[in-house]
Amino acid sequence: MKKSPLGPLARKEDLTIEDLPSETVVYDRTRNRMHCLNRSTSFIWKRCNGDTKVEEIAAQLPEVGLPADLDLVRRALKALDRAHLLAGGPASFDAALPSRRQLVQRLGLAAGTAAALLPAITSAVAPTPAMAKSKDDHDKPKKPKKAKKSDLRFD
Amino acid sequence: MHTPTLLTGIQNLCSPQNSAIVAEGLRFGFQTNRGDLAAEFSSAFAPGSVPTEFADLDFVYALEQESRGGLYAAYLESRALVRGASLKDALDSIASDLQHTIASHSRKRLFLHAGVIGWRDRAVLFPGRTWSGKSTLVHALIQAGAVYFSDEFAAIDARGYVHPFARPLCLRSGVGRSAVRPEDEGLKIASSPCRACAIVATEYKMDGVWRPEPLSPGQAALKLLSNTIAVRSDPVKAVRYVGRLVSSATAIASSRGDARVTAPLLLETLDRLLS
Repeated sequence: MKKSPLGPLARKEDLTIEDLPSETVVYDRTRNRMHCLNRSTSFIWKRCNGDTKVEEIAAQLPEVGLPADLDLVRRALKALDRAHLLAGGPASFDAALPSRRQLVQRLGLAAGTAAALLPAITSAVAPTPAMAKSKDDHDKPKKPKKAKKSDLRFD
Repeated sequence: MHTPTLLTGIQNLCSPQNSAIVAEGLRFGFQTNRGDLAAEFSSAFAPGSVPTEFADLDFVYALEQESRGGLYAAYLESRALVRGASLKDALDSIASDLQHTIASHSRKRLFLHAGVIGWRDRAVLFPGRTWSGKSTLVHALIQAGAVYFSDEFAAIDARGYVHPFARPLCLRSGVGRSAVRPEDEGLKIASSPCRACAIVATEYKMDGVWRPEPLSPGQAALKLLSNTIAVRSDPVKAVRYVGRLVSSATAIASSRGDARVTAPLLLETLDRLLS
């Protein structure tokens, strides 16, 4: 019988991963979506090995300049889950989470640094060959109707 | 590769004129029923290409002048590209399609939609789709002293070097498009690859002001991948090449107004980044 993981487990299949000095770029070959994991999200994702509990990951957060706060890990896991970057795992991050503003206030983060520190994933849809083909001989493309789900920020 | 055969558009014609070039490791053939046009299919269609034999071709283009009505029709294999009264439009259509075919299928390099200039022996990339104002900005920058690499494609190799793809600049105005050859204006054109020093995410806005803000390497990578032609067909190569590029370059983002106003400000910003 398959042993259920103790902690969150990062998805590995059909992903192309490029580690940058403080971020991770991930290409999801199944969904043709691209993600940029900021420093804290990248840090948390790399610790999602199925054996490390959420509490243990939280305890390591000071290594990236964040307080050892469980809600930070839960926020990151929720964002990773929405981006389909988790293979499954405990539902602890499904619990109601404080808002970003509440977290910033509670952790005493300066507004300017919060954006860089707090877990965040920026995502985009990979261009289709038709989208990528920006032909010179076409008329000006029509204005997009409304913002689509092509550019999302999970945080 | 395939043995050339007469194409749909001109298959009923006698004695088509053939020519061929090789570009980015791809072999392109050209067939036409107008003998005087065979020579048009040259390196002007694909920067950096050289003539080759009409054999073992990867892609074959055809240009037909119809006997009735004299209209021009252009084809890639059996797919019609354009049909109309203008020879220039037909040739432009082939050139444009051929350049995108190179960008999609190049085995040697990764092609991104980006304007590229050279500044102080380093390359600067402006990723963006058509109508984001790349060509106008690149033209203003090379008029201000930068070196021309490309107004449409950044060709990246495995080392992260950017190669010139110096096709004629395609400038748009209220009255239409015009092709500008930088050499005709006495402007400098790059002849060798170099490392990138900056990635500049900028788009024209009527009330835009040049106020550059730093962009993280990861955000820059997402911008570049969103403009990578073959990202879906070869994501491993795309992500690896782009990762290498952003690791050695500084990325900034800003809206901008008129290109001629922005160009000197942008070059000042680059000087600060490089100093």
